[in-house]
Amino acid sequence: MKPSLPTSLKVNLGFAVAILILGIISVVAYQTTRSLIRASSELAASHATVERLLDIISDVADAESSRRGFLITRNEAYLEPYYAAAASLDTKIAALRKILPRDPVLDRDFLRLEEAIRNRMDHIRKSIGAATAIPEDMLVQTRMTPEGKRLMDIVRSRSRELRNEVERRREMVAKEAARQSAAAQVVIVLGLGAAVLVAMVSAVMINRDVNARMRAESALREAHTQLAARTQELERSNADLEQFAYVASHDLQEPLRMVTSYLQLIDRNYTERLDADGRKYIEIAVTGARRMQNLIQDLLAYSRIGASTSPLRATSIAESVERVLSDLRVVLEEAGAELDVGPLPKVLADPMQLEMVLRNLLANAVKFRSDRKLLIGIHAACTGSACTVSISDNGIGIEPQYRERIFVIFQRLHRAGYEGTGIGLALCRRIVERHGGRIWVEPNPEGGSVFRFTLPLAEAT
Amino acid sequence: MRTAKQPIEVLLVEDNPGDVLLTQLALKNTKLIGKLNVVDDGAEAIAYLRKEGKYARARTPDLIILDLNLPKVDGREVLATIKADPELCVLPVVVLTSSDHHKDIIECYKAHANCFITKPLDLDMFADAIRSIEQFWLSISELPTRA
Repeated sequence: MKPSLPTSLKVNLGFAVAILILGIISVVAYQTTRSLIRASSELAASHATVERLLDIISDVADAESSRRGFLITRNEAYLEPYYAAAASLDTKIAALRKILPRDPVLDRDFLRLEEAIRNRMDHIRKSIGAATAIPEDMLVQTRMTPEGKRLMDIVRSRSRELRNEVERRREMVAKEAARQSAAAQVVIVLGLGAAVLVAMVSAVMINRDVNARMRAESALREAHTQLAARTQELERSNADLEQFAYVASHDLQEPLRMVTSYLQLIDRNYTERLDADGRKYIEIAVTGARRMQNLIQDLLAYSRIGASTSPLRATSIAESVERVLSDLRVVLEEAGAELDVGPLPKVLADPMQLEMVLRNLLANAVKFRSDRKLLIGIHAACTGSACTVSISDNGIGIEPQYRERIFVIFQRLHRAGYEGTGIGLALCRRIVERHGGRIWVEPNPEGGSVFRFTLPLAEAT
Repeated sequence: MRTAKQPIEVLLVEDNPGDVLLTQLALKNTKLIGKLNVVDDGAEAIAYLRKEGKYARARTPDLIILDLNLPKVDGREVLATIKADPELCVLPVVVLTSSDHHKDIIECYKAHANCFITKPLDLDMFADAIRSIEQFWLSISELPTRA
C-alpha cells in the first residue's frame, strides 16, 4: 500500500496550512485589536467631549448666576465667576473643538453651539454693562431677562443637539466595535477549529504513513532475519555435504583399491593358469574398478569446489597455462599438438581451480582430436572489468543440440571410444560460476570447437 | 644402540589385511628389511612401542609406517603419543594413508610426522611407494637407532 504523497510532503503541507491559518487568525486579531483600541480611544474622547461640553455649559450657567448675583447685590465680587468664565471660555471652546472628531454634522452642531454661547455671553455682558452703567434702571434688566432666557434655551438646546450627535456617534462606534470583535471571535474560533482539524487530519495521515513504513521496516527486518537463518542453514548444510562427500569417497576408495590391486595381482601372478576368457574377464573387472576410482576422484573434486575457502586473488593466466602445459607435456607430444598461445591477462581467481579448468579443456582438446594435425589455440579478449578466455581446437567438434548438455554432470556424448567420467566440463562450469563467470562452447569455423569462459580481471595495481 | 649386524625392524601399523599383504609382497625381494612387524590397531601400536604386556620382548623399530584410520586408538593419536614421548620421538614415522585431504597432511606434519604419503590407487605405484620408503629411510637416510 503506497502513500499517495511522500510523508515529508504531507508534513510540510500540514504545517504550512496550520501556519497559514494561524497567520490569518493573527492578522484578524491584530486588526481587531487595533480597531478596538481606536474605538476605545474614540469612546474615551467622546466622554471627554461631553464632559467639556457640560463644563462649558456650566460656565455659561455660572456666568448667568454671577450676573444675577451681581444684579441683586451690586457687589462686584459676584462678577468673579463671570469674568473667570468669560476669560476661559475661548480656550475651552477651542479645546472642545480640538477633541471633536472631524465630521460635517458635528462641525455644524458645534458652530451653532458656539454661536449660541457667544450670543448668550454677549447678552450677559450687555446686561452686566447696563447694570453697571445705569444701576438704578430696573426696567432694562426686566426687559433683558426674557431675551436672556431665550438665548440660554438656545444654548441648552444646541448643546443637547451636539451631545446627542456625539452620543449617537459613540453608539455607532461601540456597535461597530462590538460587531468587529464578534466577527473576529468567530474567525478565531473557526480558524482554531480549522487548524486543529488540519493538525488532526495531518497527524492521522502521517501516522498512517509512519505505521506503514514501520510495518515495511519490520517486514524487511523479518525477511533479513529469515535470510540470515536460511544462509546459516545452507552453510551448515554445505559443510555437512562436504564432510559427507569426503568421508564417502574416502571410504569408497579403500575397498576399490583392494579390488583393483588384487585383480592386478591375479592377472600378473596367475596369468599362465588363466585362459583367454579368464584374462579378459579380469581386464574388464579391472577397467571397471579403475573407472570407478576416477569417478570418485572427480566427484570429490566437484563437491569441493563450492566449499572451497581459498580466496580469489590476482592470478596470472599465462603462468597457470604454462604449468598445465608442462603437466600435459607428454600427452601433447604424443598427440603431436601445435600450440598457439596469445597474451593472457591477470584475473581474480583461485589459481588451483583455474588450473583445473585449463587442464580439463586442454585434455579434452587432445582427447577429442580429429585426423588432422591438432592445433590448439589459447587466447584472451578483455572488455571493461572481465576477460574472456578461449581454448580452440580443430577436433571432432560438438553438434549444436549437445552444446548445453555437455556441461551437465555425467552427460557424455561418446560412451565408447573416449575415456572419461563425464564430470570434467561440469567441474569447469562449477568453478567458473563460483568465480562469477560463464562458460560455453562455440563451433570453430575451421572445424572443431572453441570453449570460452569469462573471469573478472584483477584490478590493476 | 644396535650394531650393523642386527637386522632392521620395521613396525607397520595397518588394520587393512589387504594392504598388509600388498606391503609384504612389495618388500618380498628386499634385502634391507630384516623383520616386518605388524599391529592392526592404535592401542597395540603403543603397547608394542612401550614394550607392554605381550610385547615385553619387542625390539624398538628402526622405522614406523603408520596408517591414520585405525580402530581403538586413531593413527593421529598414536603419532602424537610417539612424538610426545622423550624416547620414542626420535623414531621416523612415515604416515601412509588413503587420505589426500590437505587438512590431514598439514595436521600430521604439525604433529611432527616425518613424512606423509597417500596410498597410490594403482598396484604398481603402491609397490613403488613402499620400495621408495624402504630405499629412502633404510638406505639413504641415517637412522637414530643406528647412530
